[in-house]
Amino acid sequence: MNLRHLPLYLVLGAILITAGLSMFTVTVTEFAIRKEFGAIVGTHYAPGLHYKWPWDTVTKFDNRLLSQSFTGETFLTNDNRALIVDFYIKWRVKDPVLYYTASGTEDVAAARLASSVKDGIKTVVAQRSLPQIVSAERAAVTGEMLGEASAKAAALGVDLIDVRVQRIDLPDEVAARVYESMKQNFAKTANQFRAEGQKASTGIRAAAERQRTVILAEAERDALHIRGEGDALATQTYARAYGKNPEFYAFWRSMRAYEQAIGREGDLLVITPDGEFFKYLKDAGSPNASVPRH
Amino acid sequence: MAWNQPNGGQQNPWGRRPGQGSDIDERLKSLQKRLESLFRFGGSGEGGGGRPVVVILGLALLLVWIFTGFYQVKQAESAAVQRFGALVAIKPAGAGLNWHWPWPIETVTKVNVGKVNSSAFNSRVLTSDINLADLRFSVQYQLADPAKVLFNVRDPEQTLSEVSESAIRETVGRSTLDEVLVGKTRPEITRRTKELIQRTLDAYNSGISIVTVNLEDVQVPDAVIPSQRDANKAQADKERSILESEAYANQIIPVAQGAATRIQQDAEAYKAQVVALAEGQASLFSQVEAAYALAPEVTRRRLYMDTIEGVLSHAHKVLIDGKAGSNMLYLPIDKLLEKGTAREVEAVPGESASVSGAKEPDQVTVEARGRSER
Repeated sequence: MNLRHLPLYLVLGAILITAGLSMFTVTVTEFAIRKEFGAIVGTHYAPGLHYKWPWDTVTKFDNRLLSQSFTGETFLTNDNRALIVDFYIKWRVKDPVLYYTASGTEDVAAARLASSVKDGIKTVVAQRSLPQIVSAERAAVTGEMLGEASAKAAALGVDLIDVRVQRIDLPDEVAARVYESMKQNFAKTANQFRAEGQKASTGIRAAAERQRTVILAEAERDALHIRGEGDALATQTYARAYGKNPEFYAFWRSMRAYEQAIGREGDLLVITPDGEFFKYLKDAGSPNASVPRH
Repeated sequence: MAWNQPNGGQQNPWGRRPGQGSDIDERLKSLQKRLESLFRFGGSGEGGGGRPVVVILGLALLLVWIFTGFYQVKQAESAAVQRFGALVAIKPAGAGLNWHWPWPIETVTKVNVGKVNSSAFNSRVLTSDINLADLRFSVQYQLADPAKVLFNVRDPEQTLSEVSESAIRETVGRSTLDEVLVGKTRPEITRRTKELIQRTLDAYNSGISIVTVNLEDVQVPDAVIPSQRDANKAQADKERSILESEAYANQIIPVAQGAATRIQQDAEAYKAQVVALAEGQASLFSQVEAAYALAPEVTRRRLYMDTIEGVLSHAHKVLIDGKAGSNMLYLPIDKLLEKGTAREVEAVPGESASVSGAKEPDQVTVEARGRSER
């Protein structure tokens, strides 16, 4: 090694190190504060390259929207039902100097904000019943949930942008009750469907049977009417024909009736041999004998 | 400290390692010296004759460094260029080949703005009527505004999932279980959820644009599924029993109509029958009467005689002549009838029995007649 160049190298190295310690970059997403022996001497740095004394220290904070979520927090409703609520807060560092002095790290700031927000949520939940909480208009309760947290946030040098309930869970025994009531609701619906089915079915059958009865009754009515017409016509026909000689009809009809009614095989007739039929049984008679009635 | 100015970096390939002053010769000299010392440490042990080699090597390294500044912005991409952390340019989508000052001066961050990303969620959600529903839904989104996505929100995708779950909870929390379960109202729910997510993300200035929200599946909790199935089955039962009774109605009414037609036809038949019979009878009578009118006396007698003959020729007869004697007449009618019934009983087996039996009454009649004549 060429020793005559050594001092030059030493100077160069010292300059390099000093230069490296004398600058810092600030990106778009950062806030930076510069401290000289612990005292804040510089703030509000625009993004880019900046200079400092080599002994200065620089602390950077994220200036983006930050999120912190909290799970499994239990709250009581006004009807003393327990709810398990997951929520998140969105916040942003607003005043890096205040933020640095008041909290210093994200975790500390988030924890302080969270305790206020939890108080706010507790108040909101405690004033409402479960259905009111579940269907609450978000805009209406956000303010309440933020509660004192907004004021506290300002003191911490941060902006509390939003708080939102991500999830509402029920403890197991409450969930079991909800299942039970859901089951009952479904059972109710089922029974209602079955009853409606029965009602509709009975109605349709009854209507059909009524229609059948009416159809048959009307048919009987019409049929009797037709039969009546037939009987009337027949009666008229008989009357017209027989009316021409009622006396002969009486005789003729009687003869046919005798034929039909008596004198069958096995009938036993005990007869006095009188009457015209027997007129000549015992006596040949004379041409002018009267004809007695049988 | 002129080397700290941005254009100083253009001349110094080593970036952070400053040369002394602005004179190029001086800086090259110091560089060469350092390189020489490096070679010597490396064990080559050569003298001052390596000067051109060192210059060439330095130029090559400079070229390589400059080449690392080339980057391409593809069709679906957008790129943010930062110089020492400050935003200097947003290259639009599909900007193609670009060059930036290589690290550590400028950095490039690419964002895929064209791709539609999808996040799926499973949530158990309370409905407004305090029922639990298990939802599976997905959110499709694009990182539409690269500057906002990169610089406004720390974890955009985490934020998206928080906002999505919160939004679906709120939307479903204001619907009843039926509205969530029934397919009809689901588009409305997804539309409101999408709006709510987008509004919230816009409020956070996140640069994310929601493409769609899909409610992929809605189920009641496992413990309730059997009851829900039963309710669905009951609905099917209802429809089935209505269909069955309609089928019954459709069956009995035509049958009744058929029966009605039959009754009417029967009646018509009866009418036609009695009228026809009456006309026939009337015609018969009229003709007989007309014939009778020609010779009433004789015809009447003939009809009478024919009839009585017919009557008497078939029946058993007992003739009693009251005038012949006033003595008591014993007529065992019951015996005669017994015989008659016995004969009838006998007559049942065959025709021949009644024919043979038919002779007996004649004998009885003759006997009776003979007795009455005595």
